[in-house]
Amino acid sequence: MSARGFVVVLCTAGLLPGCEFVNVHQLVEGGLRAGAMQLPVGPEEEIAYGGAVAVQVVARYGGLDKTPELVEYVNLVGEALAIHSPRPELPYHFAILNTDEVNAVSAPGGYVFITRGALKACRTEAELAGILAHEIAHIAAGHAVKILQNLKSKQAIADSTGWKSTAVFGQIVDGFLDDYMTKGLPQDDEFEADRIGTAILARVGWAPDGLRTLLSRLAAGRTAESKDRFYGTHPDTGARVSRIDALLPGYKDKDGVTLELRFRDRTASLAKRVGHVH
Amino acid sequence: MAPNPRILRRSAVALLCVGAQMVAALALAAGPVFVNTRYAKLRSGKTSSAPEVAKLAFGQQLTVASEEASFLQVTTADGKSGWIARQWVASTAPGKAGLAELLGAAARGGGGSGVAYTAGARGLAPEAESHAAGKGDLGQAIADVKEMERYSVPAPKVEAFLKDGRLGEFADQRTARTLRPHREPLACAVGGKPICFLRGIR
Repeated sequence: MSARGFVVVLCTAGLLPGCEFVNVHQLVEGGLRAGAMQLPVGPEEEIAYGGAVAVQVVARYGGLDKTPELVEYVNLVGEALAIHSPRPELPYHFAILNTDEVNAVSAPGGYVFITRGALKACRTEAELAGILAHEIAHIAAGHAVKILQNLKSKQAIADSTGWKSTAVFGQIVDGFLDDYMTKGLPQDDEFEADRIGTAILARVGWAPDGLRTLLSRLAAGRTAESKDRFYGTHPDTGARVSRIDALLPGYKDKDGVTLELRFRDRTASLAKRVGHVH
Repeated sequence: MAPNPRILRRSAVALLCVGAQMVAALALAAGPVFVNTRYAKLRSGKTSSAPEVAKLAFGQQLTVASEEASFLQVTTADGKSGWIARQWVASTAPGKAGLAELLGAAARGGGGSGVAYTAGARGLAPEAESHAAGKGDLGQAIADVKEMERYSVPAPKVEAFLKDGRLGEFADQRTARTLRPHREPLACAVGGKPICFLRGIR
């Protein structure tokens, strides 16, 4: 499977190109229709699947960028969001993927990744928080869990610990990686993650349009020659921006901060690297 | 002319939604509420700068006595009384309802079913490590994820970060100087004449 297909999946702040949502959507809908046939995925199980997926994410993106001040900053922003999220009880983990590709990815159970390229593309703390909030929203809404539930329900599991069997666990994770991750999330889940992410941003106190401003700028920067996957294959950025725009009047009484200067201070080391867009 | 049934249905739904939100707001005032974070503090006053009376546990039930702006006056089961930032409580015990509460309306989905605080559970699950180990040369990626899981920002540092940014419960400490319009620059003026334009004071 290509790294690109992989990316789509865990869903980038919609920064994913080439997503074929239909099949996955059908898969999810099929699972939902199954109703009583669905087997629940508990927290321990969700975290275990997420860990297995996280290893694949790290491997396919060339490892982690471990620049101490950047890791700390992303974790501070991420933790501030996580404790205000609808699932604050999860053990969230945040890391920077060692690539200049613009993207963000999450895995079930609380694993959240942002690429160094996406960090470079941000201009304010509210924008960084917007990307991370979108990923946290996927986790909080259980978008990947729905897929896992469907895959689990196809397994012959005798009891509540049956998922721990090496064979069963492997089939569920591999099914997730090979099927769901190559086809991406349903489009509705992406819009929902924007909606929930924007609500989390507002709850913490960042400017609710953080994700919107970043998406809008990325879309505007697209050129005919651009080979970036985001610009090349993700057709819905304009629609996402429009939908977020429709949400923002609901937050007009929320005074949000962008914290642009703090972002610049904390990411100063990035500015010294080639290609920084500050 | 007979009323349009579709409009009637929409009106009824809208009224129900508004009604539900009003009921939810009233219910909060009547208590009980539940602590939805491990960062919550019971304070002696209704501001984020008021002294701490006690730390509160995730999921702890509180009884609401009154509401003031962004703070609630609450009482714990063991009789401690004080104020807590509104965003640190939910009207239902931690769980799926958090999503609906955040959005102010019913939302589909809901994630896992656990409500216990699991942040202490750090470390790649043995099933996950075993699966990855069977996939070939993933030793470095496994080590990276373990390092990611071990990384932890101490709670006081997160709190200081929120306070420095006037975020979360510290939003009440904002002044005009810490806020700026999202898109327009902030104009500085003397005697009504603009002398400079600043962007992003904070």
